[in-house]
Amino acid sequence: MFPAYTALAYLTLAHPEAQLYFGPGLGQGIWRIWPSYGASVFNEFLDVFKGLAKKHGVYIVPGTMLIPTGKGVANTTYLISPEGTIHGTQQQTHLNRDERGSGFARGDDLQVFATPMGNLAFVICEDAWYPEVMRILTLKGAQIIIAPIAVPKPYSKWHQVRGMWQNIQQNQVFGIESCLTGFLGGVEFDGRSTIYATCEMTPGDTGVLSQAKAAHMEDVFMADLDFFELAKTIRRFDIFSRFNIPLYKRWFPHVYGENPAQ
Amino acid sequence: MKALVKKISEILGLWLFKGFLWFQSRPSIVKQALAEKHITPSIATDELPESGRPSKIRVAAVQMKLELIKQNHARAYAETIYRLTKEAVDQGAQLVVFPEDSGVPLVGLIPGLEELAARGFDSAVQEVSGGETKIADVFRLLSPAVKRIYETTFSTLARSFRVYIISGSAYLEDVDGKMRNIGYLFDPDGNIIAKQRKLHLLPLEADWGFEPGLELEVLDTRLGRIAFPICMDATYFETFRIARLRGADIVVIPAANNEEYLFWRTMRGIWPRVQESQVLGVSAHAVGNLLGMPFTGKSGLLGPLELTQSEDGYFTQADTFDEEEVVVGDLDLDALYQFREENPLNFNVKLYEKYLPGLYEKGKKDRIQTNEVDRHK
Repeated sequence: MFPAYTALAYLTLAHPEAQLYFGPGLGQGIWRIWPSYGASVFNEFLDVFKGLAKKHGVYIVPGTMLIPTGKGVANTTYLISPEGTIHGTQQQTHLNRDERGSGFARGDDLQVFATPMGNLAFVICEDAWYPEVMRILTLKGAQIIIAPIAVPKPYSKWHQVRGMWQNIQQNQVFGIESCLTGFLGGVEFDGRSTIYATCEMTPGDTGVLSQAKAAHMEDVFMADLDFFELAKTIRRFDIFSRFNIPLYKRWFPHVYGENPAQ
Repeated sequence: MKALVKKISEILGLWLFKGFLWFQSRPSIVKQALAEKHITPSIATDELPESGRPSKIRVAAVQMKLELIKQNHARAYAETIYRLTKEAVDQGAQLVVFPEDSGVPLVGLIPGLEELAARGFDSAVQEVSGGETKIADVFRLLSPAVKRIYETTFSTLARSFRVYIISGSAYLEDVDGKMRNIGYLFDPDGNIIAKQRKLHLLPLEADWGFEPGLELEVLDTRLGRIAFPICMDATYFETFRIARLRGADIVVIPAANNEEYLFWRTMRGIWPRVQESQVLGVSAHAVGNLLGMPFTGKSGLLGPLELTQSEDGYFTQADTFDEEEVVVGDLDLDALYQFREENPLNFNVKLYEKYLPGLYEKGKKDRIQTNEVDRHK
């Protein structure tokens, strides 16, 4: 899998004259170039990954692309099957202030995709810091959470821990976080890509199965996801078994509307 | 006839024991013990505004060593809690927080408990009761006595020192007759402002016959708006989210982790909850070994990474995970409000309306089924 904004990187390399930078004009910029060449460049981008998936017989998550929608541009990811077809897509559902200021629009649904490897689902960028997202996905049966991420410098280990790491722990699933590094659209990104499991399943109890060597450099790494071990961990203590559903029913979802905590 | 005689002796024995407990738990014992301390009231809470939130508060998290009290139960318990409260108040604390299970040392009211526990608490109870009694029933028997000692101790100390106290928790019979893990918030007049029932139980607690609470209390106090769920409640983001959305600025977690201290496992509780819901947090851990059960944890004061000097989410933290300590520090509510303004949470309510809370029942059931299938593979 690849990190967030990969298609934007492809687009800016192919067409530097588009002058796409993170900030107030980004969404409008994508809209502007979309009819002339934006859509076709994006399709080229997808075709590259479809071809690679088919050639190597693997699933690929090619990162994300900003796609024009009714209200802005949606940060969208794709799951490409070993047959080279699009098996599923997901839009980012939570936006931070910078993203809203850049003309992003959010999606309003979350999907889980059945594959022979297990049930996959996506959290994109800011979604990783809203625990509702992974809770909904895991309640829908997700077993592997895939997170294309891009966080501006400076890198903070603890910011990463309060995102994917802790959400993997509180939902007892596997997680694959792929982080963007380097310059894109006028912003420098850093991040340490990581493959997660519950603490009980990982060396040194860290919750980390495998990790990039550093936050500022390119790396490719892998890990085995052992579903038998995961099931054993859950059987020892299933966090879901102790939900206080009457409490949640009393307050969700209206408590969000009553006091939106802005 | 023999059975009837046996039953009558059992009843007489039980009544005698209840009488013994009643005698041992007289409030006058606690009051006398604390009166002898000639407690000087603190002026720290006088500085708190009568209305509206304060800019900053000083909080103490008591890392209390759980030890079985073997004799003079009421007096010994009051003296222990006094000593720890004084250490906190002497450092200017306006709120003193005790850990979960702070009332459990009073199970020493059962004569010969230590010998029973040496054979395993659970199996000893089964042996004595002939397999008909759950651990919760043992606590039910003790409940009136524990409640008297516990409430009198904390209420008297809160009033005498003139501080807010979150008592931690004790296993008590609730108003509906169910056994629950219950925490208390006392004001500086010694009044009980609220009781919080533990909302998410450990499997062990459920097996022992305890019931979860059904409501999360969020209270307006002169310290600010506070919630004080218990231990496992911090494993669930839902607890803190509901607290925050109902206006809580400070969420206190009395905890008692009955496990080996492993750093990353400790990061699965209050730490992420404080981060994701943008509140100030206090964790007070039980330590020590009670009836063969080891307790570990580092008490501390927490906040969003951006507000902490070391950028690790801790304002201050205990030095040890297995020793008694009183951790004191400030929680800056002005800084919290500024942080929230600069980093507003932007919820997707439309998304939640689609799935929450409807998915919980099904998700829980599906997971159990999935793991049962995996078991048989």
